[in-house]
Amino acid sequence: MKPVAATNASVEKRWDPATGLPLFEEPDWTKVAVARTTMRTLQRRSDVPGLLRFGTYLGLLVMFGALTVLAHPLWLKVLCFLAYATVYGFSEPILHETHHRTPFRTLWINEVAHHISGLFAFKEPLRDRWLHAGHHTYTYYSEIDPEIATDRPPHFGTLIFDFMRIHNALVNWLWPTVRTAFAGLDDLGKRWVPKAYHRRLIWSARACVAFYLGVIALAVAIQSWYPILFIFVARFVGAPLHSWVTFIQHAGLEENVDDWRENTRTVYMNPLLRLLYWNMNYHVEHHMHPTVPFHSLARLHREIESESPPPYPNTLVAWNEMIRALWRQRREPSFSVHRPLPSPTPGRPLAADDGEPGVACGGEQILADRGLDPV
Amino acid sequence: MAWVVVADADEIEEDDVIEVSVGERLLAIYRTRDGYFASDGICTHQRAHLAEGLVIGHIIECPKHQGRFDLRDGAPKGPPASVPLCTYPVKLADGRVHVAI
Repeated sequence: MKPVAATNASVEKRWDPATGLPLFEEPDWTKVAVARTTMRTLQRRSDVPGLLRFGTYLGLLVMFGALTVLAHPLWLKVLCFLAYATVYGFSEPILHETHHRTPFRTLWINEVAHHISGLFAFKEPLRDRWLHAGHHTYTYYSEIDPEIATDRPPHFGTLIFDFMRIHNALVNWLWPTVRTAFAGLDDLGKRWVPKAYHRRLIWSARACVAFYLGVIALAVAIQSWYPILFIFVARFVGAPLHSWVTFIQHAGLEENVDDWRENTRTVYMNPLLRLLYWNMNYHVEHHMHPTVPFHSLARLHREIESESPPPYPNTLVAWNEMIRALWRQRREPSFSVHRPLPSPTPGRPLAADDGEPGVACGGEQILADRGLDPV
Repeated sequence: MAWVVVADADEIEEDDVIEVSVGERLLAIYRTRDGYFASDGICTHQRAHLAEGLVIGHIIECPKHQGRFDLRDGAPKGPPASVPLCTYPVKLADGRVHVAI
């Protein structure tokens, strides 16, 4: 690992008070070009892979849930519940994929999976979709990326706490949902979600709160702890395996660089983890070409592998690097792991996101003129 | 407003989109089962070339954040798209796609 120059200081904390959006210029992300015909094949949408994957997820929950209820003695019951909770914790990758609308061709199926996984993840899905768009625009740009996972210097106490999603799920996700339901959007929500969408988001938050209250009511009505265990307790008990695969996406790598190959990790994982994680271990590939659905990411990886840093052979290697980097950042906050970039292949230029935003045609006024509702 | 030839009709496959430049303007030219359509080539949300996106029926999905627009009238159809796209009249003549700019 080689240290790189501090870049945090070069990023000013600038937000437009009127729009709430960053005044910081959108980075010109470097992308490894993929032949157009190949990309069209990779982008192809189908309902089948998504339904199989989502069906497997729900099927595993039903199976381990039923075993939890039926199992005897207690140690077996606990074991079955741990299995249930671990699968349950992988609602986050489903929510993530459906943010992008890539796993299903049929939009309503995508949106149903989006809302179900949001409820399980304790994330109101509409707000989180906007925040995630911000993450893709400003990936690992300090003070701007709304999903940035670690501070500099890092707080290890928070990190350990969050291995069970205790801090994030309660403070960053569930609380804003409750607040939005009763008192409107929080500052982060206002910053990233245009006003035209606030009403819909508030109703979505209210629906989430109604669901959680319904779970509690059900537990009281049937005089059973199972609804509480399956929906609430499982969120924390089952989080560690998901945390194990997701913490290593960006942490410890360079901040404020406009190349996902330098701030994002692609890590090889076993088939079971890839199944639960919806292939998000190919994370450089996902950031570079987010229109490619989960089932084509391995093929995309092979397409751009020669122009990318070597992937991590397993999660242990990635964790080893990340923990060492974060530990060092305690005393040397500017330290980052430097990823070696291969020499560009002759005749295969790297493409940048050039171009200016399109003409807005009068913007929101045109929306009103056309009698269009906010989406 | 003037009609400008932007592509040969068979240059674009069905359910696909290409990018052309007319002067300093970048346009996205779409072909769907209902014919040809044209819009600005850059997303109104953030900087991205719509020709790298995906045509699904009458929807163009932006390659960057998967915001969606109706490619027939530019109406936003899925966040984070919220501002309409400019669209342009299109006609076919002599096997070529013409766009009114």
